[in-house]
Amino acid sequence: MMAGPALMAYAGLIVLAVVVAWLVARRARGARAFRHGSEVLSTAVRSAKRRFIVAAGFTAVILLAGFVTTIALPSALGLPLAVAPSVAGAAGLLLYAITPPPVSSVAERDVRVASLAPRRAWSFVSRRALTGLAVLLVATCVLLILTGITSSPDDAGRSRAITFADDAFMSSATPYPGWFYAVPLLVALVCLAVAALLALRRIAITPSLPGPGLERQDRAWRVASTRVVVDLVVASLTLQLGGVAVFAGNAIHNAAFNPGVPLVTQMVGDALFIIGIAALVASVVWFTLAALRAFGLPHTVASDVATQSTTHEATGR
Amino acid sequence: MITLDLSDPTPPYEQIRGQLVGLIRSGVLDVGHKLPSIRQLASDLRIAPGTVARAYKELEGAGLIESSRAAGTRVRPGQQPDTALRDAAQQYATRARTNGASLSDALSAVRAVWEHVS
Repeated sequence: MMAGPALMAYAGLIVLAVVVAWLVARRARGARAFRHGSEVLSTAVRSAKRRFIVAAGFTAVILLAGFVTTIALPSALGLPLAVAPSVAGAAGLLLYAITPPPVSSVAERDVRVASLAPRRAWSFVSRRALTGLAVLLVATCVLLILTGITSSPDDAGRSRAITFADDAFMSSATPYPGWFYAVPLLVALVCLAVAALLALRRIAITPSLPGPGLERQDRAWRVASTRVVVDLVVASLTLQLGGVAVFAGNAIHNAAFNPGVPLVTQMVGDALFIIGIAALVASVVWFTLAALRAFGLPHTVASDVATQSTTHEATGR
Repeated sequence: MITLDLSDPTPPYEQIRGQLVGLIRSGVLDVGHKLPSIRQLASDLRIAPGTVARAYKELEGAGLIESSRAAGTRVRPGQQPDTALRDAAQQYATRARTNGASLSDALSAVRAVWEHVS
């Protein structure tokens, strides 16, 4: 009964976060953008920003479609909404990955410059972010496998309930993220991981800014764009993890609310519920960060270039 | 970094090959240094991949680099510079620059005496 309004409130929070991000970014843009940049850098960054906004819009549409489908098709038992975070994130990132960036032309007589450092999909991701992503992905997969293993069939034989029973009693609760939900969710997570890799690869293989002296600018837009992709993936993963943990925790709590079930089981359910809420809040934070960084990409890159230039001048390197 | 000047009469693949030879022989690119993929270098320089592929093929033929599907293209061992030769070149270059000579003048001076050195 409470799930609908709670999800609506959650969606409202995300929308509010995006609006706030847009207002903050609009104020931050203004005169400071690209004081230290160049025309080619400006073109590259504005294109990346445009493609991120289109991708974010597409992600929001898929999320909404998952929500509407769940309401329109009660027989699907919430499965469209369950897979929506990963599928929507994957769809948005895939759209970013397949949208070609503009190729900045070079005059025939201009000297062309290229770095001899190979660029890979993970070249611009910090070690901390990479570790965080891996931990989140593994945690979500482990939780799904655990809920799958501990699930039991509901009245219709679908693996979406949890049951505690011995000779004296039997207590069961549903919906629980058993194999009925876990298998599609694991497939959706693989899709999200592949889409993230393709989006990061798109950033890495985009031709470098032409001409000498643009190495720092070239790296700055790649690092800033990579941060947006990482934030979007973290937002999708935490949303997925939070949803699974909340439903698992709630079902365990309800099923364990029986004198025959050890108290520790109820505590596990409560702990999962709290972790789930924390993950859902974190997803709002990361989605806001992603939106802030996407909308403010030109400003971020200009600031990064300016900072690097200052460091370069100070150290003489 | 590698630069390409299309107004230079030297063919593009030769410019790439020559610069890579210099960077490897001078030790700027260490043994095992991984070079960018043909596709990356070609797209960054806005030239056809075949041009970069030709330069890489010639370097591989000369034994300076090795390519494999798994490890990519890397600098082969045994290509490091003769330290004494590099030191001598360093001294000569320093002297030439101090005297206001250009790179072209310095290279011409070496060529002029090259044949007379037994």
